[in-house]
Amino acid sequence: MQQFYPDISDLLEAKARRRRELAALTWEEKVRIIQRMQQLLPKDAWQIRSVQKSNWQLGKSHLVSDVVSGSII
Amino acid sequence: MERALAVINQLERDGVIGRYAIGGAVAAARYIEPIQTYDLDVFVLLPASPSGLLTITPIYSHLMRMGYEPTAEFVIIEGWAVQFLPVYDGLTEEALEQAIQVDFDSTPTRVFTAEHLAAIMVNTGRPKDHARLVQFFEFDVINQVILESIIDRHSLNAKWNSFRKRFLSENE
Repeated sequence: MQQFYPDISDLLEAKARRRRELAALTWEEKVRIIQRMQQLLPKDAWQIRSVQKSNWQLGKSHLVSDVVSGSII
Repeated sequence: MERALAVINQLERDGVIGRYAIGGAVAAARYIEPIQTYDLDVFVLLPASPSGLLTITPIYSHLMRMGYEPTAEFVIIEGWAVQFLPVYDGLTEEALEQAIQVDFDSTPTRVFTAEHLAAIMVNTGRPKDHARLVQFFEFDVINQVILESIIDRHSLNAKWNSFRKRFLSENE
């Protein structure tokens, strides 16, 4: 028996259009969206992120030797 | 973010930091769709200390006197987790030199050009950098002649060619 699948090309085109609309917003409007996205995150999400970022930067930066609050800057 | 930028501008006026510019995801969002990010990356030229060492300690000390507390490698300034990143190679130094002056609402600031952000992403080369860089091309915000001059100047040709072959469907 042949399986039929729905055509979702309209949905995909709508998504693509929405992305273009978002990209066309002003920087200020986009930053406000980012801030709203941040508010949806758990309160300590950026702290978890900071550990991951520190680990990455260990291999990147060779100029700074400071240690603040136990993390290499 | 405007209030955070005003504080950073004050640091520059006070000589605590040298020239600065915004990089990272917040800068990228100027050119493409909004990106989820936790922090504001601020690339800075650090004034040399008397010993000649480049150190960000004075930035943190100054901000603490202003009432902003460092946490891990960030300082929370007016609700933004701000990370001060000293320019760490010739590419980021050039990106800072050539950053464009813009206003965020009514507050002046600087942001890396799309081409310098792209070159930094080529250089860094993490999966998320590649994904973001693809978006720069998707939204057609890159002047490829300018980008390739930066790539050439900073000897990133191998990484750039690898990216192009993998993600831009170009044949060499």
